[in-house]
Amino acid sequence: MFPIQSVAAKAVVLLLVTATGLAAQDQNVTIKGSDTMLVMNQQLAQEYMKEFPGTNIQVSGGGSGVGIAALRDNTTDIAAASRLIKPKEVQDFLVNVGSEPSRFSAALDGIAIFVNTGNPIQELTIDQLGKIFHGDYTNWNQLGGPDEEIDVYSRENTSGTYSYVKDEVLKGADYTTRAQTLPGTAAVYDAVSKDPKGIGYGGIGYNKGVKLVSIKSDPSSPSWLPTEENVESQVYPLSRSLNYYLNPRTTNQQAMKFIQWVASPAGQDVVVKSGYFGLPKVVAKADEKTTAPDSTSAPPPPPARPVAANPSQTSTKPTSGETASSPATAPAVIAPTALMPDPQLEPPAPPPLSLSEREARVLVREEAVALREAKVAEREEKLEAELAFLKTTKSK
Amino acid sequence: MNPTTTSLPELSRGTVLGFVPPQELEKELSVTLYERPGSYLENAIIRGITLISYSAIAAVLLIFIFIAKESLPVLLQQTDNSRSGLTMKPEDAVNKSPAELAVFLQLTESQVARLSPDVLQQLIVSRNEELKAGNSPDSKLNTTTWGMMFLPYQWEGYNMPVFIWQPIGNIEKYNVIPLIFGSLKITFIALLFAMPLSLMAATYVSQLARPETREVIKPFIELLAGVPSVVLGFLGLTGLSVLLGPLHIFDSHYTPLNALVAGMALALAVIPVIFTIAEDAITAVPVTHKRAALAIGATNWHATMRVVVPAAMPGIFAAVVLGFARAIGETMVVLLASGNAATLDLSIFQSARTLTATIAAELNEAAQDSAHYHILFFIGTMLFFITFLGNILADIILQRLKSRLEGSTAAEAHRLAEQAETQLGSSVV
Amino acid sequence: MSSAYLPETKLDLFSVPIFSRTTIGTAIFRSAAFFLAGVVFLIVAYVLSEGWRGLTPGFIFTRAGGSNGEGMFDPEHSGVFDMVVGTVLLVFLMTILVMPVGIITGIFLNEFADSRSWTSRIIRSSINNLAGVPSIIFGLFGLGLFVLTIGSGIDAYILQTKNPVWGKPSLIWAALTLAVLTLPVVVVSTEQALRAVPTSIRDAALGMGATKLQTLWKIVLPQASAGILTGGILAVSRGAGEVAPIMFTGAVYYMKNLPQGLTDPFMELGYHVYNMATQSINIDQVRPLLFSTVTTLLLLTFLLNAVAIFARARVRRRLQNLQHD
Repeated sequence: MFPIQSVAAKAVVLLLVTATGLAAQDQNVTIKGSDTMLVMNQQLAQEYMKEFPGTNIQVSGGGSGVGIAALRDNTTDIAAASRLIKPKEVQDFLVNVGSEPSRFSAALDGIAIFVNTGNPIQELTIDQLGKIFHGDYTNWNQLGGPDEEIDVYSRENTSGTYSYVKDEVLKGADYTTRAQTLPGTAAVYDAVSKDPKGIGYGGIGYNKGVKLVSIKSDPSSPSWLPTEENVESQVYPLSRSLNYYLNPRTTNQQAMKFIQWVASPAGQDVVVKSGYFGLPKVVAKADEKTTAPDSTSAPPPPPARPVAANPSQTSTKPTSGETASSPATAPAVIAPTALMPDPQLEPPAPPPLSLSEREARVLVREEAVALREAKVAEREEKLEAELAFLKTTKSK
Repeated sequence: MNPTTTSLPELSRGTVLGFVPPQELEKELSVTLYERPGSYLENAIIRGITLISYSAIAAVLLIFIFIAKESLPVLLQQTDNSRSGLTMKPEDAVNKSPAELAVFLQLTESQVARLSPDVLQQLIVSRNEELKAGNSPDSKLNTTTWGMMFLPYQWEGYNMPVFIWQPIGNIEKYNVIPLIFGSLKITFIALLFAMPLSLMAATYVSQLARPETREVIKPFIELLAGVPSVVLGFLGLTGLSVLLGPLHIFDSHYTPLNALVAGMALALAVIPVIFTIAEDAITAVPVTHKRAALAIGATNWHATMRVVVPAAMPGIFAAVVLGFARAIGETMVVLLASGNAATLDLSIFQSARTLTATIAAELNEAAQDSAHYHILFFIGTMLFFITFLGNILADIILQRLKSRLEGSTAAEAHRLAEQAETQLGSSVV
Repeated sequence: MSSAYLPETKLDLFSVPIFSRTTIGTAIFRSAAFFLAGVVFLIVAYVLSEGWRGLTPGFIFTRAGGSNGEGMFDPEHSGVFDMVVGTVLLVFLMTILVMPVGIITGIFLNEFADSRSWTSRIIRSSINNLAGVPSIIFGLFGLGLFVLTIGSGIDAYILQTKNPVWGKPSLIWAALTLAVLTLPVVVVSTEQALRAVPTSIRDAALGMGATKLQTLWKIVLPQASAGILTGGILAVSRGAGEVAPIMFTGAVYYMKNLPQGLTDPFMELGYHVYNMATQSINIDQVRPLLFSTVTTLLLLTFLLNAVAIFARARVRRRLQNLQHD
């Protein structure tokens, strides 16, 4: 009786294993999540696989929530999220997995405010913008423009850009109910480029066929356009980070390697090519300086602020049982302790407390404000010098 | 005492009088033909066929259970997203009883018991953050109650009670009325275009057109069913919205992506449904009806409009009802072409947000097991019920039509004959 | 002589006045029908005119990553071979899964169940409801049931592995989800095909002593086979265009290899169209590529639909001839 059963069981197992096919030869890495990051992830993956043949990276969308849920269910190695993980999801992870996933920034998404090319509006204050998006201003002539209704275009309310603008521009107030929400940043740009009365917001990388509005925080301060220069130096105030969350249970070395590669100059080039901003260079440079003397070949560690506990905490359970049963993953299984001493793979030591989305933003903003002030001072100095020079030449 | 129910059935059976009427003979024949017992194997196969066909019921039940399970917290009003501002010090976790912790963390006691102290502290930190009250008085509200979801409320910063769907932000506003309104508005516009066009086309193709014309036109219209809805939505987004642009002279609030654009794109998705079912129903009217009308001098048009179409009316109505169900359940078209603004504006030149587009756009990003997630599933349940009711309505109507018109089965013929006989008998008695 | 018995004016039974209710009504109805056909023609013409330039054999047979690694959005070099393969594999698997169940259910409803009985009414309304469930719900249902319950169950209890093999989105689960979605199409068209077989033929077979199953297998099914096939083709064309259900259950935006087993994910045309339309960086640059992909998808579904429509027309004509005989 018993042998027959075990033979049947073995046959079933064999059948299931053979049905899984030959995909085992490459090392698989799965990235799932934000639709906003889809195109960027694909280009990163393609570039990475060109550099490291033998890896097979699968990129799929579905949304940040889907990505994080997949991370919890252990069906993906990396979750791509255009927002920060929510407290509810953190609790979910803690209860079901025992630890939080660690966060790594992959790119920045600067937010441009734009109008139709036929619109004479040049600059707006944050306060005016808030009133437009809230629906207090409904006509362009209230802002010195033509006598036409304002059409507000917004992103889907699940996008990170939406909540960013809601917090920073609207100061928590609601968007006007007349705001049209479109799927995808490109759709917003496209709509505004066709609508002479339109105003919209979205990542600068998609900029096409519209007029950018320069933004100032209050009527007396200088206004800034989201140019490449201004955003790279973090002078332009509106930006958010696009994140990767790493599966705390994954034994996949390639996943970590990929995340680190994204933060490297080669990866950041692709990020910029795909329409987003690179991570702040100031931070990246500082990291390069500190790491360069130790290991010249190693890519700089990601300039991210992992919010979770150290990944080493997570792998408390032994993983010995799984190697035999699944040849597909055998090469990827490595002892977690072996991961840590490797200088290339060691994740940066994370701060113990978790930052809320707002706090994280405030931190980025503070840096940005400091930088901006420095820039302003620099420019003023230059101006004064020029003025002095002019005066001297005039007097001559 | 009704004589028809007591005495006459015996008479109609013919057993009392000792002879077998012709209909009875036919019936017996059909019984011997159709209900002859098969072999053991055949019976087993038939049993198997029956079992497999129950899988459709299983699929619907599973889907329903799945949706209902996820929306249960909303239906039972167990969700609570109020930010009470209550906090618990992480260090105190050791002193608290599991029951207290479970209440605070919204977990079960057994779950709490399994957690290590370290994880427990992290959990409490995270929960504290979640409960952190904002400075608005609205943040202490539980916005997932029935009242908040269906009635207007005067939020801070508004000067009158309003219906607002803004599920992301410090205060999550989950009023579903604008979504229901948007769904109905776009569906109404879609049916306004689709109904007359497809019904007229169906009547023409089925009754008025010459055979050669029918052979050309019918496949063409049915090809529309093969256009994936994502393509229709894409065409609405890029083509139709530009094409209808000049209409802005009619409305100063005109937006390029609006209910009219979405409704017209949606009409393209609904037309094949209404057309196919209506055409089937009209064709199913026995040709004898029409020939009779033609024979007494009616033109083809009059015979069609006065005889054939009225006879097929239930089927036509069912087609419209199914078209309605399809329109209200369609996702991709409205997501791409409607502009998705959750307004209560009656103008067709204003954008609208539908129930399906809301699910499609927000479910991806919503954190699982959050109030938002459950409410989206609650919307799914509502949609399920709307289509369910529509289908049942259409089913009943079609059933009625079938027994009225279609070639009735032998058993039904007998029943009709019996009825006729009883009526005859009662009039005699 | 005989002319005396004829009426003064010839009685005209056939011609109708030009502006009568008949002519105007017919004209309106005709224009509605032609308008609809014209709209379909316009849609097809529009998509084709925008997409035909890119639609070369090279486009269809080039890998998505492009031959020179320029990425997926290079109109010159990237193709849709991965998506076509994924779509074909997906609908093929789906057909294998849905056809037996759908056909058997159709047979049961038409041949064995009394249409007034509760069982048949419940099954019928279940199928109608299945047709009315929003497709996004199917996606979540597939994720919840197939991937996370059945797939993870196989991993945990049969393979006993912690690394998900079956418990992740893959070809088989997406195909199963689509099979549930297209079940009503197959059932309804099977039923229609069976109903079209005249009762007299069944009676004749039964009268000559064939059993019910013999009649079904030897007489009814061969007659209805073309109609049943039509149902299958319609299901395939419906399944090929669906995006929402596969978004969570198996479609990926990009992967390097073609799917090599049932548990591999895949790339798909409809999903690709959706992503290109909403997520691409530069709509104008991608537009030719987008239209070429839409054209590929449309041609695929239209081809299948056209086959189905012609098959059905032939069956109808044959049955009409049968009835007349």
